[in-house]
Amino acid sequence: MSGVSAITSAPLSRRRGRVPIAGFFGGALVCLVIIGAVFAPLLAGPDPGAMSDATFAHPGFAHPMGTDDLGRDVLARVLYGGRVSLVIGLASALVAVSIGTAIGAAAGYLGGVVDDALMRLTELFQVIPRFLLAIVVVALFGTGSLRLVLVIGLLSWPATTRIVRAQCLVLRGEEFILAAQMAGASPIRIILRHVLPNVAPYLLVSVTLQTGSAILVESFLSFLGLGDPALPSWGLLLQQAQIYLRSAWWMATFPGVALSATILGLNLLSDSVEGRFVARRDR
Amino acid sequence: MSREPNMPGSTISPFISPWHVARRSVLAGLGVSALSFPRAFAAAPTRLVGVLEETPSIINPAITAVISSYAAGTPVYNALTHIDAKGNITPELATAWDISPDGLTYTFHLRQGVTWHDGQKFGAADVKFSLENANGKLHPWGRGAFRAVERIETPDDATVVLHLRQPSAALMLGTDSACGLILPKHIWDGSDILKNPHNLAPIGTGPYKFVEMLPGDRLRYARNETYFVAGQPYFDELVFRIIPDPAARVAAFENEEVDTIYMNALPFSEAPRLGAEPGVALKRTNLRGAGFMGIFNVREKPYSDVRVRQAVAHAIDRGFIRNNVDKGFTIKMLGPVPPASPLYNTALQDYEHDPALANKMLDEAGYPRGANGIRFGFNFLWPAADAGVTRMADVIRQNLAAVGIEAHLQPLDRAALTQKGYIALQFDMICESYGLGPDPDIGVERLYNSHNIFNPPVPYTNVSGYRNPEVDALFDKQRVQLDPTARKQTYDRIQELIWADVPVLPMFAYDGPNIFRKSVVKGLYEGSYGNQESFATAKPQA
Amino acid sequence: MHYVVLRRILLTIPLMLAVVVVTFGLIHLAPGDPAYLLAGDAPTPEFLAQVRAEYGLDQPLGTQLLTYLGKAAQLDFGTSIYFKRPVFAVIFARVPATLLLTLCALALASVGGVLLGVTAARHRGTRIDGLLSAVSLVGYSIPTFWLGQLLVLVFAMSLNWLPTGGFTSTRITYTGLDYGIDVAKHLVLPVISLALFELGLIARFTRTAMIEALDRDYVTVAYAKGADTGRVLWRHALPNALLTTVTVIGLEFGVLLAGALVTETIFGWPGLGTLFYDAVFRRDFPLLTGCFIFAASAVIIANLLTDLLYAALDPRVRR
Repeated sequence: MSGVSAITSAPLSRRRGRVPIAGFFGGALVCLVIIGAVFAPLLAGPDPGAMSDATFAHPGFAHPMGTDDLGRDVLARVLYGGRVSLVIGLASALVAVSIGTAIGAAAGYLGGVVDDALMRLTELFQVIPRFLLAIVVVALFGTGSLRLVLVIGLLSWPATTRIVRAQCLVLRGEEFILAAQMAGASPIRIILRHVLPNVAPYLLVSVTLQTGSAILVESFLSFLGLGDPALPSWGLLLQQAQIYLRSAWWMATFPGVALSATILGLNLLSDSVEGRFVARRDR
Repeated sequence: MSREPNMPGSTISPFISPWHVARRSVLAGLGVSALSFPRAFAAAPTRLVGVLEETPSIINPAITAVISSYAAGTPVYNALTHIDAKGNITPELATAWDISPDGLTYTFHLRQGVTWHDGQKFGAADVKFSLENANGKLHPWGRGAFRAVERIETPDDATVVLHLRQPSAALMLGTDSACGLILPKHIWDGSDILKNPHNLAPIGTGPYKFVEMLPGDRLRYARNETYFVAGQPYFDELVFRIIPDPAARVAAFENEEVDTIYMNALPFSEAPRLGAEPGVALKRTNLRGAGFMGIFNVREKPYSDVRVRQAVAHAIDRGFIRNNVDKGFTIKMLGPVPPASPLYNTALQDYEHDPALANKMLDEAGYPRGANGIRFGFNFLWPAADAGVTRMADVIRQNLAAVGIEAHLQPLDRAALTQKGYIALQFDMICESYGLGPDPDIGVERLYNSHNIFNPPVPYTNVSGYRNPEVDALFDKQRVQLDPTARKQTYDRIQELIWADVPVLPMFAYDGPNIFRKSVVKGLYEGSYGNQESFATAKPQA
Repeated sequence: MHYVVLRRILLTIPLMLAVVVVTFGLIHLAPGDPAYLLAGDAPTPEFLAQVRAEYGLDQPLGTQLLTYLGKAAQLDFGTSIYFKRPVFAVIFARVPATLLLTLCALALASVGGVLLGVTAARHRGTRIDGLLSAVSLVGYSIPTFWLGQLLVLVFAMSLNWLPTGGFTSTRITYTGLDYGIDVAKHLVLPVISLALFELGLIARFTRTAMIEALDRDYVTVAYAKGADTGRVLWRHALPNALLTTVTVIGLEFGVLLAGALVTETIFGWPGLGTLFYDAVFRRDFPLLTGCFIFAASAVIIANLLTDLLYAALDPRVRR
């Protein structure tokens, strides 16, 4: 989470013992979740909020994951919840990585005063406990998916910044960059055409990692009742299941498993992506 | 337990007791340790463990209707009367009372030999002080119940006389714990009642003495050895654990860490299951009327049109809501008055769940569906912490979608709800639980009387903006009708008119379930309010 | 070393300042009148005027900021709307419980994580490594609140081994050693819930750092000199691992606090977490911002401490 990989002192190519099976397993989990989310209407009907009189049904043939207190099918809610979690997670990750890349590239490439100022800013954001800040912001400004995506995204960019900046610092001395500079290309053009493609593998890792992290933060917020009340995200399902823990264990178990599996899958995936793509680029 | 200096930063090891700041609230003179009891007892002190859903910010049910204040304060205080589960008014601090034939003079004869927890004697001066400065002035219900009182006299220490401006049908119902708990004059006189530290360290005449509160953790009470009812109370100690999470409360009860859960702390959805467990008793306390009220904002279109409101009433499947939300404790409620009240009009007809009819009514009212099937929106606000309404909201949204109304669900926390809904009036419907008792004069009328519309708006008053001069006149008429039959007639007509206009749509009225473990205690929740339990009659078992 | 220390301490001050400014900014950027936010629900006009005067809300923004900063420096963060007591006092009373929970969790996570990571590194490439790595990965993929729910369901409600929540038993009042044991029993489940995430993370990074350290030249030299694996591991590679652990703790402290918030809510643990949660739901803004400033300061100080610790431990940084 939160780019802790940046602190490893070891050059990444030295990482050994990275079992490829782990990466495939992770990828498989994530694919499963995505398939479930995309094909939710096919698998579980059009409306996850459809209520019925069959409340608290045990998992069985008619309802593989049981029903909840209002007779809603838990399987449907888990599948549709996957959509919510994945979309919010991915969107937040993209926002975070975009901002992080912009700031990191500017800091790394331009250097000097700009670098110093941006790094102080990054440090500030890194130090503020982002989950608590998210809570305060939601409390002050209200809930809603878009707000959530912005808040999570705006609080998660420092991780990407450091990685991108580090790579930019390295690339600054490269010959092809110097050549482009002498040819008169503007800094922005250089960054976009030459620097970013080299940084891309790191960004991929970042997005994967951040998605898992964002899904976790969103579920925490929903669990505390600060998510979007109209969407059946996994965190919301877990919050609704709290009271029925003893009597309807399936309401809490299946969304929890789905959530954990998704995060696990994303972590495994980002690990193997890091191991495969990034290691190759190391010097 | 020694007395440590009450300074933040005092170097007391956290492993002994970390909450010294809260100890500031325990008064000198009260130093009753829960563990020190008369040498006559050789056995371990008997203790009853209850639960609270939040740390009370105030423990003074004489001036506030906040539920945690009631739960924490009722064991400590007494009122003039006690109203039992059947509605009979029985003596408590007052042993007898006379009402003059014209209904303008109430004479209460007070019990002798009652002492406050700090040893001072209780007397008429306390009653006069309390009713004038606390109950009648500050308590939201008390203000209504004692409104007619012009002056109070205390001819002697054992008699209190209330002189009324006009007869009041509701006054006697306000003399019990709902809004009539008596405060000690010698403690509160001369201070700003709202800022007095005894709001968190109550001193009363009740069966249990307040010992201390550890915020976020627990409250402790000790037996009042000089309680005026011989033999009572039966437990040596009372402890309320503070558990904010409803699931954790249920878990604690099932794990036998907690012996009883009162209705406000008990998730209704779990009550039937818990009540059915062997060894658990479930008592329903009637509350003399509480219900979930859906308050329309009738100031602007389309909800200013009564046909639209009636169509919504037909669209929302209140039967399904009754059967699936808080199942087992919901009571069908038609009109403004709760079914528990003797004034309830049983002849009212329901707006049956009929989406086809609702669609027709909306078309005829001039609100056709747009290209996307939607007629207009519906801003639905409710307190986010209320799990019951949260479940209702989903049902309501579906029901309304079937008739072309797009609901915007807005669960808000208390402050935001007050701000946006009650003060800024940015809502089409607010739904939350309202206490409708002890008498409709106090709990019901405030929502419909046009004199109760304030600018700037005040929460929990006539916030829908409903104005009906005929209804207003009938309210004035029934207020002074002491003959129950006449009053019922008037009130029946009021209910007919209001139900026809439906400015407020009641979702359901409810009974409160309270549970306790039979092997530990008996004699609980035999009054009319589960959240105003004094624990005086609670007896240890085994 | 002194230079590094001084620099880090000096840098902390502007960070704390920035946190307070950010908090101030949020209150004033939020929709609605800050007076209403600070006064609570349904305030009377007189009370509103009082709040405005007290917080100087009719002053220009710059003056307000300075007043706020000035008060904050004196540890005056206003009065809690709900508790009607000074925010600082309310927060301070709840700190010991949270400190106990967090420090125990950190201890468990550090010790467990390092052991796991070192063992995995020692047997790298083998099935043991695979197993231990999987365990640590799963550890930091499971959401803390779900883990808490499960632990309560299994160990407290089904098996009845441990209590469902709270700080101590309400049944019996223990004293002395019994009291300690009672608190310890109540600590078990919350600490495990909270620690697992960090444990997994520390294990993972310790493993990586250990492997990297074991690959270094000086280790090869040590082996060549005839040192046995155990000695190499503990004397040369472990300090390296400790550096990693310390850094991880510092970086993830904010996440740990967030986890503590959720864990406390589930277990009814009477600490800052439940206070913060309450403050959010009551929109008790003075208390909420006080809690937030406290939490942010705690993270900053934790970072400072770990940086200093790192500097003290890392032979390369010492001057």
